[in-house]
Amino acid sequence: MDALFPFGFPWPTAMYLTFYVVTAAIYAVFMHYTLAGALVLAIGRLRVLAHRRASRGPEAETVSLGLLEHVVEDWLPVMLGMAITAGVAPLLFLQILYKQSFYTANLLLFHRFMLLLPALIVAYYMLYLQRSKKLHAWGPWPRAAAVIVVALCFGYTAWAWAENHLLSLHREDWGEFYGSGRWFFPDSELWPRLGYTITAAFATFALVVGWQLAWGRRGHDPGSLDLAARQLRLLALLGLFASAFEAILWYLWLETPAQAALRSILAMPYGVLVFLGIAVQTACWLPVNGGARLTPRRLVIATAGAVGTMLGAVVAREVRRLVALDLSALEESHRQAARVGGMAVFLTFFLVNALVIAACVWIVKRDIAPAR
Amino acid sequence: MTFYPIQDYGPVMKGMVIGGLGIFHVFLAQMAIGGGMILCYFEWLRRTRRSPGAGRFIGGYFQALVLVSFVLGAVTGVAMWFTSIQVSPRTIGVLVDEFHWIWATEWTFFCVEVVAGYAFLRYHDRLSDRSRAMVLFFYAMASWFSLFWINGILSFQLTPGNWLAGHSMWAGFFNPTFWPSLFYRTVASMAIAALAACVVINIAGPHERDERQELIKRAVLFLAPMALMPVFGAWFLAAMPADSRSWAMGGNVTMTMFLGMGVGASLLIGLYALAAILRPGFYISGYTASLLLALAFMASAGGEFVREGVRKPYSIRQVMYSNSIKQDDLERMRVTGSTIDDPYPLRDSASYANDQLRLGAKVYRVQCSVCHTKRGANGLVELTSSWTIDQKRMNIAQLQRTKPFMPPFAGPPREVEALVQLLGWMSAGEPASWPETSDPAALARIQGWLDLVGVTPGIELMRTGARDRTAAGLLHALATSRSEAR
Ligand code: HEC
Ligand code: HEM
Repeated sequence: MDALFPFGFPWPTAMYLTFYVVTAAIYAVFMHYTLAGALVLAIGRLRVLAHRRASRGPEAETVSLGLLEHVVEDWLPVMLGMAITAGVAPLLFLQILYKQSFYTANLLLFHRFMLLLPALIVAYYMLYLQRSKKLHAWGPWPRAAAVIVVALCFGYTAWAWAENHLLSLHREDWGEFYGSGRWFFPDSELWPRLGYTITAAFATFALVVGWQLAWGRRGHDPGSLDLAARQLRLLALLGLFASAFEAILWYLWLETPAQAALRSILAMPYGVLVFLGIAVQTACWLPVNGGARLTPRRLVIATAGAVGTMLGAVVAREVRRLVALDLSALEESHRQAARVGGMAVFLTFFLVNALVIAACVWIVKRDIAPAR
Repeated sequence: MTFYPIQDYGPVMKGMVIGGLGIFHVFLAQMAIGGGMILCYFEWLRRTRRSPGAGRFIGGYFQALVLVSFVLGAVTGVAMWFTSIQVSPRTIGVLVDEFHWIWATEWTFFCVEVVAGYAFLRYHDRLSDRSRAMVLFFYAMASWFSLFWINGILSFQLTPGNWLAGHSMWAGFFNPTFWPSLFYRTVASMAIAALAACVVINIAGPHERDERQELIKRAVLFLAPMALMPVFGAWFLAAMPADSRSWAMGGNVTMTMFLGMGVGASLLIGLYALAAILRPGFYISGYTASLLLALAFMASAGGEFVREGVRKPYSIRQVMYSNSIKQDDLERMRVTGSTIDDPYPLRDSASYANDQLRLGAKVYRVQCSVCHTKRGANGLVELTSSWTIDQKRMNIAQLQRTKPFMPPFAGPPREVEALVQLLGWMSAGEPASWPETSDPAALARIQGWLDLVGVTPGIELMRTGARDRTAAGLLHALATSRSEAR
């Protein structure tokens, strides 16, 4: 571990690590959007409720969600679909990389872990339900309840993944955990881990919504756009500061070997990248006091910063895992796996299908443009 | 060998869990795949003004498709993965090592499916005709290809074919049942989608009955390829190993029943479709369509159970047994035992009367629990309750001869004896004290039985006619199978 990630590893290990890190970062964008989006929407719905209580009378009827919440409400089901789909790729590489520890954690947590799937199904239908006209007629309460259920389901899912991850790292606890038939694996690292994900989610979320607002600019009323932009700035800055804090907390939480690895050449540059990215994003968001400031140039620079933060964080997280596992045994199994055929086919279709996706997006953008 | 913790599902068999979920997933996925095709066809009808109601149908059907099969299909797909890990982490581990690039390729098609799907759902009424057709085509193409890729892995488990010779991934992918299975599933997808379309047309289609009738007439065309099902089915059966075929065709009651259910339900749908197509002015009401869709679900269920079942005793034929023990490890395990490296304690360790029973419980957990419960579905205590102690010893030592769809026993005589004692203790009502046995003569008899069948798979013994229970018949069969192997 005396070279920059992933160069110090034998090539099969380095290759699978790279595929994992890249696909995990893509997945994390959508996961962050759903997680933060659900919370934003839940808060928005609760605000509507609070307003209605405060201002009875005819005015109450006009209190509704702002532009920000409308965009989120519209896109959340899509983003959930994307998160589920994007998650499949890291899930695959994870199994090649860490077969035994991942499977064992899965088996040990069993229904506790698998419950995340029904939770996602519930969340998905709740998202449709809360937009339905029927529910609308019943007033704001049921809709607020539906969105809160969604946020809880996503929160549960995040917790299940984090707990599974931690259990997979603690081989020494497996036997006892199994024998006792316990349901929960309470490891205090869970808190800074989840804390980082949830706070960082708001920064990623703000940026993606920033792009969505910028693209749809001409369709929005300027006043609501200004408000939404300022709300995004607030969310982004809160997310950035809090996640920087959580990252440091997480580091301090770790045991000495993991800390040493994070300070070594293996991971240090990535750690720097995380904070550099946060700084760039902060600089981009600070002056955003209205919709006009959401320019493509600003968003591109912020995105570059976010890519740095995301990649840096995913790699740092991976290094923390590598320290906990027996690398030499893993490297042998990666060598075995790398012998099988099919990579050329994958790379070909990766390219072809990326083009198909780009074509889809391009076709849609072109066709709906005149409607603005 | 890597040991994994093994769950105890109480009275429920693991196979049931994965089977049950598998049916749901396959049905939803096939609905999405056929749905893509049928939508392309209706889009063409709309564009060429051949069917006035087609446009409205497309929107409604796509909405239903997305709401039901898209997300549910994706989530149950991930669920399949997790459940497979629960049932046999070693099997899924082998498959991942061997086919990860195929799965990764499939994933790129999933991505197209989601993007094209949502693009169509959200914007179809704002797209030009050409763009609509294009996006829809991308969606349909991607969903059919996801079938193409996964089909290679699923059929590999039953018929690894030439992969066994040189471990070439592509030989395993394009295995003997690849094509019949792909064609069969494609036709099944079209049929399911056609029936789902009839339901949607009735619920969300045009108001005028003749317009609806017009659409139904078109949708029913997608049932027509069902006529080819017997051909593909027969091809599939012909490409299957003889023993697996025999389970499904009378050799095993449950599996034959499921096959019958699948064939029967498909036949009913086919006959109804035929009658419908032949009769002028026919109509399929929402009620009938739902009923037919339920039948299609039963047909899928039958098919999936048979597919899971006929692999027995293997999870990957000639490589790994259903209990995750590799065929190549058996010889060694006959000496070392099956539990020696197992780091996981028994959860109910304290409830056993002695250490031999604890060993028996571990042996059960490692070797039998994937297909049996202790008491409950396919429960061992019940299955062996009428046997004498020596019958238990012999029949368990010669597990693959007792039933050829069981793997050979993977341990030395003391593990057989421990299991036999466990079953005896349990059927005696689990008394607080129970003597440990160590009669050398009994162990020697067990060794003799173990050696008699060796580690030859039961299906091999069956092929060479060793079902008769005399030692002479068995020896004869072994001799033939060994000389054939040479
Ligand atoms: C691949 C799945 C599988 C595995 C593994 C397996 N069995 Fe079975 N076994 C079956 C099936 C299926 C039956 C048939 C049940 C029936 O006929 O109702 C069966 C039947 C039996 C019977 C009844 C046989 C008879 O003639 O009535 C016994 C006893 C038995 N198994 C014991 C075991 C023991 C002990 C183990 C573990 C060492 C084991 N089995 C492992 C699938 C399996
Ligand atoms: C909206 C729903 C989801 C949320 C909120 C969520 C949340 C999370 C979180 C917080 C982590 C990080 C765990 C940690 O490092 O401590 C994670 C990891 C992961 N998630 Fe998700 N997840 C969701 C859905 C999914 C789905 C459906 C899949 C699979 C298709 C998936 C695949 C993964 C994978 C592969 C990892 C990496 C696990 C590891 O490296 O140990 N996620 N998820």
